Amino acid sequence: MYVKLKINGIETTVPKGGTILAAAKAASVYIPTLCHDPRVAPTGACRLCVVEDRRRPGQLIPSCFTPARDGMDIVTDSPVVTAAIREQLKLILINHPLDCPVCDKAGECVLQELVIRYGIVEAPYTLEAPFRPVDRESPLIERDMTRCVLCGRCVRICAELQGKGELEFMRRGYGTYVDTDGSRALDCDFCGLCISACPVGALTDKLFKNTTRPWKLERRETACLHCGLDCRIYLNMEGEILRRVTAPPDKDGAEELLCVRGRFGWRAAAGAVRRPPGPWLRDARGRRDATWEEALDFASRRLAEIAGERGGGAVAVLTADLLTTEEAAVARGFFRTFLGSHDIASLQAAGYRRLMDQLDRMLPSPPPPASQEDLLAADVLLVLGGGAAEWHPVLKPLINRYRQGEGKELIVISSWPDYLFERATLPVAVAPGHLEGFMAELQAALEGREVASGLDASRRGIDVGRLARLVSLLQGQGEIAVLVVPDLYARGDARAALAASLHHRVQRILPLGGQFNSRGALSAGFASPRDFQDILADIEMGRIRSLYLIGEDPLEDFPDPQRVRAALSRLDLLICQAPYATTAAEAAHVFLPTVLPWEKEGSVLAVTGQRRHLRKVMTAPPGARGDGEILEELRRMMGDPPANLPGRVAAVGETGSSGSPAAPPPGSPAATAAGGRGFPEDRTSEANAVGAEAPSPAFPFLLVPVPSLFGDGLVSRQSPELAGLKGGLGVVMNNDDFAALNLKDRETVWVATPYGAAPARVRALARIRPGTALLLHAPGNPEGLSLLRSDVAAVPAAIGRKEAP
Amino acid sequence: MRNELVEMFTEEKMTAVDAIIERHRDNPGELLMVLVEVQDITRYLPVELQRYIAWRMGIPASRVYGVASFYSYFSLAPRGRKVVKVCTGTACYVKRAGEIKERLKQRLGLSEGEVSADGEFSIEEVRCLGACGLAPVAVIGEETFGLINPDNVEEILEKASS
Repeated sequence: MYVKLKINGIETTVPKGGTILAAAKAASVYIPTLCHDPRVAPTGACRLCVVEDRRRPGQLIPSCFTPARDGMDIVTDSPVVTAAIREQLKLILINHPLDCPVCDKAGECVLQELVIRYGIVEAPYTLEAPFRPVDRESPLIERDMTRCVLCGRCVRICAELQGKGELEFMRRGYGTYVDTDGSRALDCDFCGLCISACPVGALTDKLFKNTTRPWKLERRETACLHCGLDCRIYLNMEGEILRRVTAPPDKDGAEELLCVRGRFGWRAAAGAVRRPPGPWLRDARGRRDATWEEALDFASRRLAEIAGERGGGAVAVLTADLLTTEEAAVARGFFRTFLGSHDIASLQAAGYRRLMDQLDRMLPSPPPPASQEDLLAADVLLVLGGGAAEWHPVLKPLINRYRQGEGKELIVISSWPDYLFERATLPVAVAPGHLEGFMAELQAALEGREVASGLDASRRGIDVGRLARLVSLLQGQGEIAVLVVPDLYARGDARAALAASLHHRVQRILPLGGQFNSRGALSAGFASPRDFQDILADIEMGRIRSLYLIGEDPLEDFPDPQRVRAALSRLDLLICQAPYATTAAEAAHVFLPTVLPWEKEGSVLAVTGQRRHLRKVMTAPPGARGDGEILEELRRMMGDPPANLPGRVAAVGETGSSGSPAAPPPGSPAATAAGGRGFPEDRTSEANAVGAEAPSPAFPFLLVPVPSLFGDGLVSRQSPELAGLKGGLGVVMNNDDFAALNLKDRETVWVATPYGAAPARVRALARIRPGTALLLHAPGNPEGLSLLRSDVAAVPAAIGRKEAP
Repeated sequence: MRNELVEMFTEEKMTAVDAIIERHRDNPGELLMVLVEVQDITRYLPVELQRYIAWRMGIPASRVYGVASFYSYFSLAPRGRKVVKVCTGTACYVKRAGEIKERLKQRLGLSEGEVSADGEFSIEEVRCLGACGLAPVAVIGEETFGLINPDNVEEILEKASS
């Protein structure tokens, strides 16, 4: 279904429904635009894209939203059209200050380009300047509406794509301006899509402000570090100084989507925040700076001793997936094959690894990667668990794009009202702690198996009508794609099992929660059914004597930091290899500073399956080395594998761990699942184990730790901008609970659980279940982590003005 | 949030406001009706009240403000129990509407955007009321007065007060 027409005499075609502007683009004919943004619906506000049809001369047609029709003979540069564009530009300039010398946008301003292109040298019209707000208070984004041309791109992109509606047209007619309610500072996702959409200098990046001029910047393409979607980004470099991050253009020429972390979180890599200048060693005499030779010599000697005496099973590794795939292969070779360690686990990517491991065991073949296009092509998007768009914020605009399609269903099964839940066509709310149980029952019901309790919806707090619709959609004809979302700390496998049980009906299954190169790490052989919970127990039992941290910090990323600290102090050797000196670095025997992914070359594999080769785009700090390089050096220094050393065989017997790294130790989840592919027969006991402790009079709330939009990962936490937006530990409660406690928005309250108490800033949300409270920003916050226990989805809590009851 | 609004209005009024929101909350498209009905109760829509409506309806507060500031029907500032609307359309204007407005302000001791001390009156200018045959026209509360002049403003105020 194509439409054939002529643009400036050039024959061209567009798909039916395509605009004249799209046809012109296909014919490589230039048409000026200002309010047009291919990412959002056209409005035809600026009237700069006018063209003429030779068959109807003198009649101006706005090309950005007029569909092309067969036989049109469009001319874009006739005297009538050019005069109209010039006149329109003069009208726009009535309310646009010519402050280009001090405007950050100068050099990449669409209006400036057009004024120069059309040679507007006079501003013949003057009118009284209307009221226009200027906001210099908001974080990260500056709004100077005196420069606004009212194209509405920011308003549309914020509402349509980000789904936020933070900016809106206020008043009407000549007095119209774009603003928030009551001209307050922005309180939004800070994705900065509005900045990327603004054609003039009305919305600008505060981090970039007054640093340099855009024409001095060189754009180097790489991948964002802040989650496993690995969005393409441009580092805007002035020489070797990173000035800002922008998104590369997509196939329509508009900037690709980015979230707050990608656009504003770059100072984690460029601000030299806590980047240590060199390695150090710690012994009985305390901490001292060391040369790389000393540090590596010490590390290799101690590792060889421990692995030699106790076997490779006495060494455990935690990695945060900042390794390139090649480095991950080196790490696997070093730890698994060379040292004989069983455990290469992760903290920040623990949920992702667990889901991948569970799916790998349950599915007949590994889950095929699901690209963003695959998700958009589905008819039914089933999201198992809350927090998908919080783990990976670019899912917000992406899923909004999906929802704009006709007849698209978005099913979200969650125990808290996350972003997608609030926008679902079929939201299924399950009481906290019941999610695992519900999913297991749903799976049984879908498979036609009897469940002991029946699918007792009311017990789980679920609307029966919704349940019926859910079942009919899952058994219907539409193509289904599944997003499987891990909890921050709980370890249940019911959602993976449910996703796996649908595999014959489902086109794509995409586990979420992956970090920068989590999928690449798994492809390099990091898969392990054991996680830090198991490792911690083994450290406490004395089975594991050495912990090797690669970009991980169990003191900052695991519930109950006191227990972790006590366990770490029992270790014979703690090696911390990381780009930043975080809490664990201070406790480590050896600290080895590493480079960040932008500072090295290698390939990454996004959770969506796209493999990319990344060039080195930034200079590494002088004292830092690549992870792969360090591990290769250690291996070289150690010479023979410790396995060849005498005494190892006896040691293996002592520790009780098996000789083969592939076989999981007894008692691990893999062992109970019989280790094979196919579905475990009975998960009911496991499903119940991953519940929540019940609230009590002393602790009337259920506190659910949830992922943060601003990034929970170690890298995100180093960004001063993201940390600032988080504003410390946060708790979100139901508005009636909030009113009953007579609290004020954002006031600091005490949150107490049976395990600890911590101050947190409180906010209220209308759609949250009464009695439920969400805990935000616990990762990286020892007080927040002390409130929690691993392996529970929710803990009982008290919230109030007074200190812990 | 609600507590401040209860102080600003009353518990009784806020209960009525909540009932209105409850009736429409599943249809965000009915925002305009909500604002009309709420303003009937509170007489004006301060930004705090708009934010409350937005929060309870689950829509962006900016959108509520956009709608409320678009229509002249809505007032963001307090109004008197009876709003004096003086037409300043062309016909009324040439028949001394400006003078009438000044007289009314003098008589009530207010300027535009203020409310009289007893909370009874506030003054607004309106564009054409569509009753040019009766020019000059003023509306006080629900009652329309036509063919008035600067000298009988006292009379119509008395009529409106009775």
